[in-house]
Amino acid sequence: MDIVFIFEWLDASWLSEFARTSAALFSMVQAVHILSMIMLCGMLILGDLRMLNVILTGVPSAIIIQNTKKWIYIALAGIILSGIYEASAIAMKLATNSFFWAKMAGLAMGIIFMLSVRSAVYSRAPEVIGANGPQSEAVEAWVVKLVAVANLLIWFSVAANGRWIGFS
Amino acid sequence: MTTNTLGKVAAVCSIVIIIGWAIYWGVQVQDTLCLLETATAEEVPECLENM
Repeated sequence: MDIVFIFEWLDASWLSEFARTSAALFSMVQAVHILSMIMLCGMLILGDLRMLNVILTGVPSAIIIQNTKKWIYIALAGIILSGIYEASAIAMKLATNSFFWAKMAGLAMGIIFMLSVRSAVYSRAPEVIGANGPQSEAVEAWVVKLVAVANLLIWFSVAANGRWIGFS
Repeated sequence: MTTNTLGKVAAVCSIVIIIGWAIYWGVQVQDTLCLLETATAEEVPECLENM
């Protein structure tokens, strides 16, 4: 499916015109994009490293996962909104950039994996990892750790490909 | 979904992601090394044809 027309539409939009003429605002939005990415990765790393029993081992994992959830959604909203603004300024360049598509694929995969597998598995983490008290039915510890590693790798790719767009 | 099924689905998804990640970044690193070689080589290196 050819979706270049979306980029052509974005490139010709008032948003694109505005983004190209307001350098100061563009740099501020770029800062919001990077800070949102830092917040998202920070929250995810916190939860994943807890599940790998690396950090905050004395704190129940359910508390960490519950408290980071809201900030993950806020960061995601910040990333997507500021990302659309940034992309509008160089829409036609991005349409043919392989790292942009790799980043989008990683972002989609990361969101789906986080909302489905990661969320379901972490809520059924065993006592040895979760410190949530005895659970009648818990996922095996090695599966929880595997999910944590996979999640960290996905978001590493999103961040690295995002940075790579700037060099290509 | 039962916990047992969830565990199996999660394990398969995670393994696929980890293997896919390793292949993707393996190719990227290989391509980068090739480009570095190209920058310093006098002749066009073979790896450039496979990119």
